[in-house]
Amino acid sequence: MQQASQATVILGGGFAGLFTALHLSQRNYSHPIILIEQRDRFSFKPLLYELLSGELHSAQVYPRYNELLASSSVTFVQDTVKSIHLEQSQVTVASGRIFNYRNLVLALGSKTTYFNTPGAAEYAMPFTSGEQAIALRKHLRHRLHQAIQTSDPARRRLLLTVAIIGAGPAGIELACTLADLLPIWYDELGGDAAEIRVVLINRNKEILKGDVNSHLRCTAQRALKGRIIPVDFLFDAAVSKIQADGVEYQQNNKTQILQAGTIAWTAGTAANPLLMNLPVANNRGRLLVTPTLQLPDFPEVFAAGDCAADSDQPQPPTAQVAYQQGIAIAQNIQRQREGKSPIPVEIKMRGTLMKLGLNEGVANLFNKVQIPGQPGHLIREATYLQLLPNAAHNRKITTEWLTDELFQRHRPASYMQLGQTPWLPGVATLAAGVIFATPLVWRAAQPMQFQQNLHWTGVPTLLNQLAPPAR
Amino acid sequence: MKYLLNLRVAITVNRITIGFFFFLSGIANYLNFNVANGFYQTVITQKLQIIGPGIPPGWEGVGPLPWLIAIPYAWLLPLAEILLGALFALNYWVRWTGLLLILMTFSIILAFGIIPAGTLFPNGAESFNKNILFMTLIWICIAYDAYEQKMSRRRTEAMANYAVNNAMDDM
Ligand SMILES: Cc1cc2nc3c(=O)[nH]c(=O)nc-3n(C[C@H](O)[C@H](O)[C@H](O)COP(=O)(O)OP(=O)(O)OC[C@H]3O[C@@H](n4cnc5c(N)ncnc54)[C@H](O)[C@@H]3O)c2cc1C
Repeated sequence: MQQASQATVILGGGFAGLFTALHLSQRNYSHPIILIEQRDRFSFKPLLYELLSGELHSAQVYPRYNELLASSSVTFVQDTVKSIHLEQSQVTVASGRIFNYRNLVLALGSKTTYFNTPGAAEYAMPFTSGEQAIALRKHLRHRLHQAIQTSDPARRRLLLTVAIIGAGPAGIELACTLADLLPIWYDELGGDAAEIRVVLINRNKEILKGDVNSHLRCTAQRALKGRIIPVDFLFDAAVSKIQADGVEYQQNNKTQILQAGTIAWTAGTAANPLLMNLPVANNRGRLLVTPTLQLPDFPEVFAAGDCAADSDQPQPPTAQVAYQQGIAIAQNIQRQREGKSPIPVEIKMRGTLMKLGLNEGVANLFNKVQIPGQPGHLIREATYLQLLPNAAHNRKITTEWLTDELFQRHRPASYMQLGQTPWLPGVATLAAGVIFATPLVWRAAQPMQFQQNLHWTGVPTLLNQLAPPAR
Repeated sequence: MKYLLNLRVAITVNRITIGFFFFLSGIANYLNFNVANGFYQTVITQKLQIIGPGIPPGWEGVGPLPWLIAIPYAWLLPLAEILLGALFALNYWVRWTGLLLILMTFSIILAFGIIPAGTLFPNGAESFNKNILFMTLIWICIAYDAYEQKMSRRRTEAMANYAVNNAMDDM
């Protein structure tokens, strides 16, 4: 047991937990590292839309922990944490195993909450993991197949309507993706893409309210309306009940129902219940930590990501913050073991990125410059692919993605279907055209000089042969 | 045959043909820029007219364009043909490049007469460009007809599948 008590135990293999584990391992940390996670695969959440649409595949954004951790010294335990005993430095998992630790990292993230809306847990589809993204893809495909086989227009309308609840970043990104993707999928089945309907339902009038992306509101609103099928807005609508085939909501003091064959839920997250029972301070379920990411009363315990908050320097619950905190925790744990004092974490916010449809995005760099459209999409995808954990995995995926972008493989829809132009090749063609035209213009403007200067290349002779003889 | 009756192939070939013709036309205009009655002279002296050059007296039209417009127009038009032709052929920003190509063509039609001497109407006189464009445009119509038929067949097939799979397929 002596060995085990030296262990660093990390709970949760999301951005915060996984990056802590990988960076500890990369630092040649000499003590055992144990990562406990309930799932067998890591979900790269910002790129789940690409998993849904098929722009990126499972191996890229939903890889197995065993593969990610293969060349590291991390021991992966697939199990569900049942209880945490900070006083005894012990963690118990569902299989009954008990882990003693010397250092503990709490990185359990948050969970979807349905705000006690009746029917939501049964009928609405959440969208927070690779598994859920794949389930949503299957469900949507199934609905389109059913619709193409249905001759009753009312039933077809229901099957082809997707309701997305919550106009935060996830709801908007999902709506934009589906409003481009579903028309193409349905068209490929031989259906009339104009029958697809994507409805974004929000409790208040504003989208992205209170989010780090709130200043992208106008860009997002424009993008929602500019999809292959413009997204419908149902705002100021409080969802009161979810049924198998519809959403009941209150608007202007009236109860109404939107019939929809697919209902996706992106409306809320709540604290992980395990953490609520710990004898430490929290702010709406997020554990309060010091600037070094330690629990004030338990300096051997670190917490990061969506489940932690530093009250002096609150950070938004994003992947960008979580992975930087993970790296910082790895550094601080090592310092602690070397007898040095941990250092406060500095989070660098590089701006925000949003997906606004297939092949369209917005990069908001340092909260100053907005780069929309295809360049925004390329920046977004390149940035996230750089973040994929594990350098070898990362390089392979980035290369794959680059070749995919260049050769347009694995794409759910071609540029032609989207009526778009790949930005880089387009500009390259323009440049090539100008270069190509330059000798022609030169010849037309100053024939003698052109003849003399370029005689050695043979180009003037060639052009003279092509030109008709002087009349 | 499958390939020939594919809508996307037909449209692609059309687009490339048209784009390539503009591209070539741009090159040819620069090559013929300074020759007597060449491109430059034509643009500088040509009038906007309803009936093409040659007929009848009194119908020569208005113009020519003032030098301030005519000179940049003459120098930039072939470049625009080369760039827009290439972009159009390669399927880049087709809506915009196509619109500009149409405007350009329209300006040329105006300059050479809406009803030219060579004539828009069939009169036995050959026009190579016109015939090529007719051929590719007709192909679009044929391929589209094939596409419509395919889609209606698919729908019928899907309806038939439904009857078989309906019971076991529901999630
Ligand atoms: C659809 C979507 C899109 C997003 N897009 C962006 C974006 O574009 N940019 C951005 O910066 N952020 C984005 N985010 C937010 C970002 O993904 C989160 O902030 C980030 O994942 C938080 O990391 P974390 O490690 O704290 O938690 P998580 O990534 O949630 O990881 C927590 C882990 O703990 C595990 N776990 C939970 N309970 C237990 C238990 N009892 N036992 C064992 N394991 C357990 C979970 O399975 C999970 O793997 C997005 C989120 C979603 C859902």
